[in-house]
Amino acid sequence: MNEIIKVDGLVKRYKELIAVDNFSMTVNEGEILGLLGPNGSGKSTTINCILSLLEYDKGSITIMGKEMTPKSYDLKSKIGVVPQEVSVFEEFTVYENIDFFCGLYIEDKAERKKRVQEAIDFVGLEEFKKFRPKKLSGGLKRRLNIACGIAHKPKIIFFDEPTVAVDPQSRNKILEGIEQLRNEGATIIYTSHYMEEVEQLADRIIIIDKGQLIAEGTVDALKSMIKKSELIRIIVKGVAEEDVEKIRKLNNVYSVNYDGKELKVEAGHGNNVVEVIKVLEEKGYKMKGVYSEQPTLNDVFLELTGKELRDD
Amino acid sequence: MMFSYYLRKALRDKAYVFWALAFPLLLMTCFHVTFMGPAKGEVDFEPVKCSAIYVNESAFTEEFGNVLQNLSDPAAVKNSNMGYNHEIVELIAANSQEEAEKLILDKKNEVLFLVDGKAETIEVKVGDSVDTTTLMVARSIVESYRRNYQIMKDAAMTAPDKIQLVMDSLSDQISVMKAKSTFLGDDGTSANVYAWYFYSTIVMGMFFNVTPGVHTVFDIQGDLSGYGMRTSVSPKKKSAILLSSFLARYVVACFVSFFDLLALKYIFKIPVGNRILEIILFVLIGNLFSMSLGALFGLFTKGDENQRDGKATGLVMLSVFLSGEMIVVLPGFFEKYCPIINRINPATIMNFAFFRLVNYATLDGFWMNLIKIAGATVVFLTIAILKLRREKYAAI
Repeated sequence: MNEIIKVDGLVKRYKELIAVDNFSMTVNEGEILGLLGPNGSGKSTTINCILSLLEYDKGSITIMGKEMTPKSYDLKSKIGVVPQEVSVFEEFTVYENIDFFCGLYIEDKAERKKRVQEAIDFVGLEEFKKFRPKKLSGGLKRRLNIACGIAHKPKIIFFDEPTVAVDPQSRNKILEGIEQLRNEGATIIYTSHYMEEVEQLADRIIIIDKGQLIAEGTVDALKSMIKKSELIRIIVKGVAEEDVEKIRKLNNVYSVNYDGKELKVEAGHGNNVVEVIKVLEEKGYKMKGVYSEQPTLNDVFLELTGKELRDD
Repeated sequence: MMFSYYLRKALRDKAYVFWALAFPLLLMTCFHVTFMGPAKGEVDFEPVKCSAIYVNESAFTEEFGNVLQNLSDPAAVKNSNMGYNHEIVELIAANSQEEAEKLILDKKNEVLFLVDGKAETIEVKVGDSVDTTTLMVARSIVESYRRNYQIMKDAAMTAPDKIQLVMDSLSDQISVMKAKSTFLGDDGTSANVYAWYFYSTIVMGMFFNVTPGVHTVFDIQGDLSGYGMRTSVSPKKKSAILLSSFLARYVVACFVSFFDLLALKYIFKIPVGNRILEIILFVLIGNLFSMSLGALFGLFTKGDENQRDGKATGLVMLSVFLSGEMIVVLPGFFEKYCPIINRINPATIMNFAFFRLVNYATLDGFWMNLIKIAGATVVFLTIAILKLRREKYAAI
């Protein structure tokens, strides 16, 4: 696949604070890249450097093989941005807002009219197009925010936490829309600290913390990097200490906790549930429930950095 | 495209339209009701210190001397219809023009009347620090005398005992503090002291354009707002967006000011003079000043758009208050005890400029004050543009 964005050795300092520390990454054409990290990890700073909103101290950034600078107007015309906060004008209607931001890219009135209508249809705001933003719900405002960033049909779209404070219905609609954009050929950089969304959406994920790249790869590849592959929870009463110890000594198991009601077993890669159940059945324990949880990106982040990904 | 959208945006900004247009009109309505309607207000004042120097003595100079004598006599004033219990003027002896002017420079005198009996003209000279009340009293004396001299002369020729009646009439005319009785309109050019409230309100309306100044900065700064970010990453040049945004708001601001001025003249019947070009220049520079000040607040203060706007508006309100918007004697008080405030307060400078434009025969004072404001505007705009060009978005 073609590299559409290449960041190499990026360093950005704010006085003493190093916000981005020798960070390198590539984005391939037509993929959804998830940029995952807790608040303050350097995600937005990296994006702002890529967009030439911020000057950086070291490194290089190229888009479509050309160096990105504040005056790269030809490159800018191929980029769309959906900021984290709803960034529309309260004085304009839905239609006017989309038309205004589309007008920053497309001069031709007839062409603009067509694109604006397509964007309205895409986000499902047809019946609200004469409404002012203050009359829209939070979810509809988010959709308008997206429409303003994509109406000019950019090749590269940056989404910065587009689903913050959005109801589940609107969230699904937004995520479906983003997938559709990718299917239509756009390259998407999706920034979030909602791991479930990134897991669902991204073809590839980059985990960033303290301005450094912690890990990168597909969801499966990231999960395979860590020791833990499964959390087994079994609702069972009266398990003797010697039996808990027996489970603890099973292959792959590296952590067992029992509080008298629930047995929690953390295990690595292998046929773990069967092994654990076998031990309990042999001793005649009555199990009221058995649950197996696969590791999440938070587990990946926790194991790689020693802290939780989600800090809010 | 951008200009028309920014124009629409400015016109639909309800808060701005209220403060810049509706609020001044409401305030002027209140002033009109209070000072010019049935509940006329009255303001007392200190007797004006004045000297008169006469050349080519004639009946014209003699009668003017009599008028001044009458106005300096508390009993005569009390017996007139003026409604004051004290003298209007305090006569300061001076034997020559030079001596009288020196007394003004030494602040022992406030007004010099140079009366020419042959040409039948009266020139009024005042010091730089004269307050508006003093100026109004002096101007009203001269204007009323000019208007009534012919009547007085005719009355004296046919029936000398009618002089006193004419004097009463004159006294009535120079009761400058009674708004309605002395409000002579454009032709008479004799504004009353309450006009200051109205002029100050016009300036206040202009100064509310700090808000569009703040908004202009937020429109294009990627570190300040999401829509600033959007415009910054677009292929449109920043300077083109800045120009569109600023010009659209500036056009609206000037339109609002002209509307306020028309209301002042035609609805509230306050004279604004006939110097159309100078008034236009005053409006253009005044609005440019307040928008550039707003831009500085947008760039250099902390907080979100509303907080920065609030800070800018707060400063403007303070400036307008100190210029006498609510207490008309405040600039006079500062002139006496702390004149630096009047020299550096932009609202006072603008008020002085407008007052002189409307009421003074010469425009020296107007130009002086307007140049101060224009100079500050150039400095503010230069700083704002340099800051905008060099902005590195370090706050993101």
